[in-house]
Amino acid sequence: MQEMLEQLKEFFTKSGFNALIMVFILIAGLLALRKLLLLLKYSLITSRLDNSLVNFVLTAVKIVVYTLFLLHCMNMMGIAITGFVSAISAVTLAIGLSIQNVIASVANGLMIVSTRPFKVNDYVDIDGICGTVQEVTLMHTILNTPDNKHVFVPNSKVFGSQITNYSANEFRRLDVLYEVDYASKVEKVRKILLDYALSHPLVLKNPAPAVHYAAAKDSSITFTLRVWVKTSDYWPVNWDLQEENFKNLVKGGVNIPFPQITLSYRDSKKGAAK
Amino acid sequence: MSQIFFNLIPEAVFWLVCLVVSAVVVKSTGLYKKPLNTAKSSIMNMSKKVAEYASAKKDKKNLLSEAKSMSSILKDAKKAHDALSVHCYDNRMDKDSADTLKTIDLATELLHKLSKGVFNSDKEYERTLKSLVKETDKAVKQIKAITG
Repeated sequence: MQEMLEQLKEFFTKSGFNALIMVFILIAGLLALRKLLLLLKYSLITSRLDNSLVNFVLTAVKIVVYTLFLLHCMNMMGIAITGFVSAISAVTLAIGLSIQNVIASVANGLMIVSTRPFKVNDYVDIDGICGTVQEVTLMHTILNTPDNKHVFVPNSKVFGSQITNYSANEFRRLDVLYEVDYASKVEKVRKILLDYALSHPLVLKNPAPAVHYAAAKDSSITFTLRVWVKTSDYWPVNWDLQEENFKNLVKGGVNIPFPQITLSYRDSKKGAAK
Repeated sequence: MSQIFFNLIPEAVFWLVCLVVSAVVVKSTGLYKKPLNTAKSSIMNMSKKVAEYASAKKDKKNLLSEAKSMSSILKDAKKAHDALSVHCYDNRMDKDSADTLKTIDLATELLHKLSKGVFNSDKEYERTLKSLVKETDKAVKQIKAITG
């Protein structure tokens, strides 16, 4: 390293005109590379690639291109770069060993952008963390949570976890559960739930909404209302169905039960339950 | 030292040529510094040509000029799409530009449908043409609202 610095000093102090040309090459080269990288950026963006992939590729290419240019310039100045390259290798190895997790994140980031389990603006659940994907950087996947927090999830964790992408499909099925009293008439409950679902403008008519008798529980009968909606309408429809159908059931005279236990006791003298 | 000098001169010329060529190419794309201006001019051209195309279609002009105008409109649409994509990449919070990009993409889809010319009925064709004019007008309004 010391030797290299001395060679560099000698080049600039003793070679006069050559040093000037070298400075010119450095400036022109850096500017030309910047323009070429700009062209690469334009072609990547206009090729309809996902923005996260564009970011990733650009950052990686920038690092490689500028490092190679620097080494090339040093070589032209007559500086032996073999020592420098070996030094870089040694340093890289040392750093690599000490920051294995970081390198794993970068490698996993590469896997994420190549396999593309999600894209920017998709709503995902990564190992229990839910949010909209803002960006996939070299090290992290940045999520914006519904309550507007930025969460930086390391790419190594993202790639090793189960990912649920809620935005992958255009339509989703929405299941809403209703618990009604045992005294309720099944057909009446079914009609009330279906009527509102069919009248809702955001509920798809095909596949048609359906109501199923789901379970007989301790204190209530459970009905499931299944409707299909656009993914973007999932939550508004969910809130509407929950609230409006509760009102409709009450209005229609259907009781919504609270947990209750029927107790019977055994008469010890007669031996029969009462 | 002279050896280094003779090595450096071609290198300097090479990088100079690289710089000039890349600068010219970057400038010719119209995406550097003001992509919105490029988008605006492309959308305006597109709107004009779409209006001409729609009226020519009404008058049942010949198919050759129709094909020519269609490819020209598609070129404008692609230019607008590219410029807006670059702008949206650099300004991710600009929702208005993202909406304009969506409108342009929708118009491009309709253009492709028209250029393929596979329709079940004349009514469907007319509906597609009408939608194209509507989407183009919408894009013009949106880009004017952004650029002022």
